[in-house]
Formats: sequence, C-alpha cells, structure tokens
Amino acid sequence: MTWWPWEQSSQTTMIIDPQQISPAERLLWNYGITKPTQIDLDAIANDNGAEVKYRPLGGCEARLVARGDNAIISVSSNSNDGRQRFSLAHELAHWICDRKTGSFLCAKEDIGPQNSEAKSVEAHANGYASQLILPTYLVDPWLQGRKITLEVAALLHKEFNASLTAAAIKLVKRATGPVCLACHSQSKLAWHQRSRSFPFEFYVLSELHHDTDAFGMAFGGGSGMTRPKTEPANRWVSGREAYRLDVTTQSVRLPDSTVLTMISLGR
Amino acid sequence: MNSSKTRSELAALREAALDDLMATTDEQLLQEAIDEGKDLDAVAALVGTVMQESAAAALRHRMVLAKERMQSRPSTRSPLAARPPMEKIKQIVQDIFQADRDLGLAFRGGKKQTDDDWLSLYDDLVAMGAIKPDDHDH
Repeated sequence: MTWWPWEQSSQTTMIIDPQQISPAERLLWNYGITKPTQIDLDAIANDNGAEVKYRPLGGCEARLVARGDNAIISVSSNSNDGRQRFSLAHELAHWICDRKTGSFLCAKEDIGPQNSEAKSVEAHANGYASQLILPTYLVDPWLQGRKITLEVAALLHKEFNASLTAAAIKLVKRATGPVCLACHSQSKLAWHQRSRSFPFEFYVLSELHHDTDAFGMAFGGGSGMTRPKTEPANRWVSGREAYRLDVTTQSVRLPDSTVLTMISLGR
Repeated sequence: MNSSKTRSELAALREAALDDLMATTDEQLLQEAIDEGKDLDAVAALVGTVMQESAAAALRHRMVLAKERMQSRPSTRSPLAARPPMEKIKQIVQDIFQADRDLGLAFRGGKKQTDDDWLSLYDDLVAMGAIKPDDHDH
C-alpha cells in the first residue's frame, strides 16, 4: 500500500490512492468513510439492494437469500455484537463479490463449505469482511505511536466496534515487531497468528505452561486482562535458543473460556 | 418593504462581486494573496480539506438515504395463519430453489436448519416474490 502523509491543518486530510487499497477498503472509501464510526454496514447493505434482518436463527450465524438484484441478509439476534457485525460483513462480502459468479450458492440442505472451492470462497469472504470492519487505511493511522498490546487491542475493539479477537489479530498482522497472538483452551493451542517478523523457527507451545498467568486463567477461571509480564520465552515457544530469550506477555479470558495471549519477543 | 429592498440590494452587490471575481485571472488572484501576505500552501490545504470533506459527506449521505428507503418499505412478513404446514413449507422451498435459477442461498456457521429457520426462509422468499402463497394449497 502506498501512503501519502497526513496533512496537518485545522482539520485532518486523508489522501488515499483507491487503486492501492483492497476491494473492501475501496468500497468504504467510495462511501466517504474517513472515521471508524462512519462504517454503517446495514446502510451499505441497503444501498446494495440487501435488506438486513436481526432475528433468531437456530442453525446458523447468518443467512443470505438472494434473488436477482435483491437480497435479504438475516443475522442471528442471539449472537453478541461483534459476531453479528462480522456475520453481516461476511454475508455482505458474498453479496457484493460473489453474486455475479453465483459461487456462494448452496441451495441444498447441506449448508457448509463442502469442497476446496467453497472453502476458498469462504476464506475470501472472511478476508473481505475483516477489511470492512477493520480497514487498514483507518487502522494504520490509528496505530501510529501505539504499542502492540492487548490493552491497545481492547481500544481498537471499542473504536471500530469489532470483536476483541478480531482487533487483536489485526494488530498482530499490522505489527512490524516480532509478536504472536495465541489462543489456548485448557488442553491445547486452538490457533495462533504471527506478525511478519516473528521468527519462523519458533513454535508456540501446544499446552499452557503452569507458571503463566494464562494457565491460571484457563484453569482458575479468572477474568479481566492481566498486566504485561516479562518471563522466559520457553514458557511460550520452542525453538533454537528460546531458553535464552524473554517474552512480554499479556492474557485475557474470552467468553468461550479460551485464553488469548499476546506474546512479544524480547532481545 | 425595506427588508425586501435590502435583500435585493445585497443580491445585486453579491452578483457584482462574483462578476468581478470571475473576471479576475488566476494570476491576478494569486498576486493579490501574495501582496496580502497569505500563506498560500495553508490556504490550498484548507480548501483541499474542505472540498474533500464535502465530497465525503455527500457520499455518506447516500448511505443514509439507502437506509431510510429500506426502513420505509412496508413490512413483508407473512402472517402465521397464511403459512402452509411445515412439511409443505420445506417442499415448497426446496422446489423453488430447484426451479428458480435466480435464487441463491448462503449460510455462515451453519449446521442444520431448524423449523423456525425454514419458516423465516419461507417468509423471505415470499417477501422477495419468489413464492406466491396463493399458488399453494394450505
């Protein structure tokens, strides 16, 4: 992405080359969106011919019914705000990107991605949805001068009305330093996300070390966010000479009882 | 009366000032600003900001209008009494997806549809005009 400097005057000017940003960001930019609070996904759906209904859905998080140039997107009213927003963004991605090709269509009772092509379409919709909620052209300037911590992720989550997990993943993806986000259940590593500079020779341990705060959270049920803590790297990662290094970690327990930890590699 | 006269005089003055401005060349305007000691870069930046924000506000207004249009549409939910029995609904919905190639359906995080999901899907298809309830026996 090419960035022009922000000009400081009585107001702030944002200059962006629409050809250099992702399709989802371009959509937002073409709606004149220059602040996160202006991202109104319901309105964007409406302007693209899709009605949005929040209603109980027993078998899925969201549903898109399309006919010609019109669609109805249903979002489960039982889900939390962050999940509802991502589900709407995901279905909106299908509606905007895939309706010409029909590749999102699954008109049978089997309602999950059943083959590699369908999985690829789903992955693309997830990426598009992520940019609709946390567009890089707004996130990067917001991040300037801030550290990559869970506290900052919590601020990002509030500012952009995204889930905490989505905000933390975005932070790590945009980080220039070696950081990694890990999500553990009591028994295993559920998933992890590395920054581009996190060393490939290091692997996040599959089980929580008993001396970590995250272990206490996973098994003791503690809530809230821990304070950043410096500890031996080999409590978190394996790899050549990991035992010589320190990491700074911060953890938070998620509503599904997993524990999310930001791991920043020290020197 | 006086007020009306004042308004027309102001309008005439404004028109004359605009005529004068339009008759002035860009070079003359630039020279006037330099003579008055103005920071031209700051003026240009400010004008750029104002223009960009005006354009962005106009674009955002499109979203507002779209939302208002959608919210002003009459409710299309089928009354419960108008719905066929559940098994009939499932058959109608499956048949319509086989017959109407313009129809598409996608789910996120889906496992299996509940009966309530079938009902709301039927309602949506009625609302979109894909199913005409009168065509089916209750």
